[in-house]
Amino acid sequence: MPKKFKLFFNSNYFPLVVLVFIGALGWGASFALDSFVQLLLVYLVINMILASSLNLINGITGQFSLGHAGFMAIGAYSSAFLSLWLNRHFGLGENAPSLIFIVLALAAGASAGLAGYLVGLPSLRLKGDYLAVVTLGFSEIIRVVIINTNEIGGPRGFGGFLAPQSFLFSFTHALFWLVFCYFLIQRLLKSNLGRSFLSVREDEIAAESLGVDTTKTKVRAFVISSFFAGVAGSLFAHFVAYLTPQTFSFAKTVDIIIMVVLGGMGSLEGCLIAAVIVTLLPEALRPLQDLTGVDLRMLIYSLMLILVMILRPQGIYGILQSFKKRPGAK
Amino acid sequence: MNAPLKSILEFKNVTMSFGGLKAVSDLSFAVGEKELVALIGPNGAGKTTVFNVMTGIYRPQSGNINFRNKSVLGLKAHQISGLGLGRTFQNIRLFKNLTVMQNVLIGAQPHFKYGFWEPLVLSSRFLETEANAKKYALELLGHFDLKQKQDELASSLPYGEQRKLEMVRSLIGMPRLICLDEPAAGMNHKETEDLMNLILKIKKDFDQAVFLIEHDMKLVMGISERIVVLDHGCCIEEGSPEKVRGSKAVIEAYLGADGGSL
Repeated sequence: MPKKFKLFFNSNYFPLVVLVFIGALGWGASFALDSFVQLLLVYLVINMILASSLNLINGITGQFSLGHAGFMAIGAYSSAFLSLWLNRHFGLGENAPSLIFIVLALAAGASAGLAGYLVGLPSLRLKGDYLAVVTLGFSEIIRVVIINTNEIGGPRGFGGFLAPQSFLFSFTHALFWLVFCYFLIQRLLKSNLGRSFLSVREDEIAAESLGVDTTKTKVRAFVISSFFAGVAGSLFAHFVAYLTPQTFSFAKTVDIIIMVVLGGMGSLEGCLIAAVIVTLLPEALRPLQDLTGVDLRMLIYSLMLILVMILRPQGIYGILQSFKKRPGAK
Repeated sequence: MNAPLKSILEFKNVTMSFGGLKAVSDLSFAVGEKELVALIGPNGAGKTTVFNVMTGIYRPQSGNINFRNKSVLGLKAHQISGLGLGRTFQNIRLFKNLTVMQNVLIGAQPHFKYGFWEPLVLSSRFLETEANAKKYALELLGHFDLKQKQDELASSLPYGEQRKLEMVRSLIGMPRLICLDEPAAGMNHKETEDLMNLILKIKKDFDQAVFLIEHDMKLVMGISERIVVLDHGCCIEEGSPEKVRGSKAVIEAYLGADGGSL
């Protein structure tokens, strides 16, 4: 068993330590800290899921997608709508069993994954900028469709669906999906499918000549990635209990892309750390704003991004690597 | 010994043109099972196009290409590879940011038959397949003196070893025919000699057909069993090294019509 344990973690226990740390933080926050900190913690975990899943397409498979907010929106709205429907037909009310949210997250993931399949199948034959434009267009279409659909609130926003009452549940649930997402990708990278992802990023023609079905491989990466985007959407929806289409605008995609790029394209640990920075730094800089009276937060935040990209284009992963003697297993 | 008894690869009247340019026109030839055939010709004769039409990168306008008695027309590159046709590239196409071992394992596609969830639960089938594939990869790398470099990045290898790695990566998929596109390009005298031995070793140890494009005449004349000479997309001569060496058409194609007035 310990041997399997070692194998599973790839003999790298750093992410496990981080996850346990976040878990402990959340548990502590559940009765010690104010609700704003709790909100931030759940956002952090959701952002980590989003960053890890986008990293699978943009960093590991090397396809530049700009549609992650769209998949998240599909997950969020379908999960919210489904919970409303369940509530209406089965009268779950305030005391909905916690299990229902896990089922809703699964359903949200499945619907986003299906959307990923439908979008990916025709568009993943495109390369580089063209794929970016198609996925960007897709996520805008989703947003516009939501704005124009009265049943889910349209531009006014959508509320009144089921929401878990306890922070501890929301947090643990989100953390569970993060752990699942992280280890799925980590394990995949040690398997044939994961290596196929990497081969598509490195050289498609060579990959094809070795028998890798590159289109199928890309679609698989896309589906897995959008599945987790949908799950993140569902977690987000039920935690904040109110959705507006503006949340899923292009700016959201950009936020996630910043996490992936800042973390170092293709690095699992890097994008988790970057998610922490991107989520918490603007909040951490808030006291500075009170002190100076000017909104320096975004200035410092963007300056930091520019500096990292100039000094360390490989992102946080590159910074981590420079502390190690030998290039890692990647 | 002109036409092979049992052919593994057959070109029948293949024509491939790009706009007005006929890169390959009405080309017919065959490569036999376990035969070592070289394709030569002056620059721009259409050699690489021949490789690209048979590996599914281009689709010829007319004619037919049979590999192991199946037509490969309309098949995608990965499907043709799955039939047992391995290749290397003229300008080395390794997965540069991956390790030597990862490169080789990506070549081992036919060996992996487990579901995508199995790595997550560490099923015994997954562990066994991976362990066997790694063992086989190490064996092959050892065969080509690359075993110590298994954890290095492919881009950090010297040129000759990158060429070798490309061959290992192709061989691990157990192809029936391996196609080498200018394996000696950019190699010095000594390296070319090593390469000759290597190609002979591949043919002998893996008991398979080899089809190579090459400019280096010493290599071609030294190891080929049969040579196909291409010029302007047509086959102008075919036969043993001796026959090709003496052929008037070949000398004309390489040196001009007045033949050897250098």
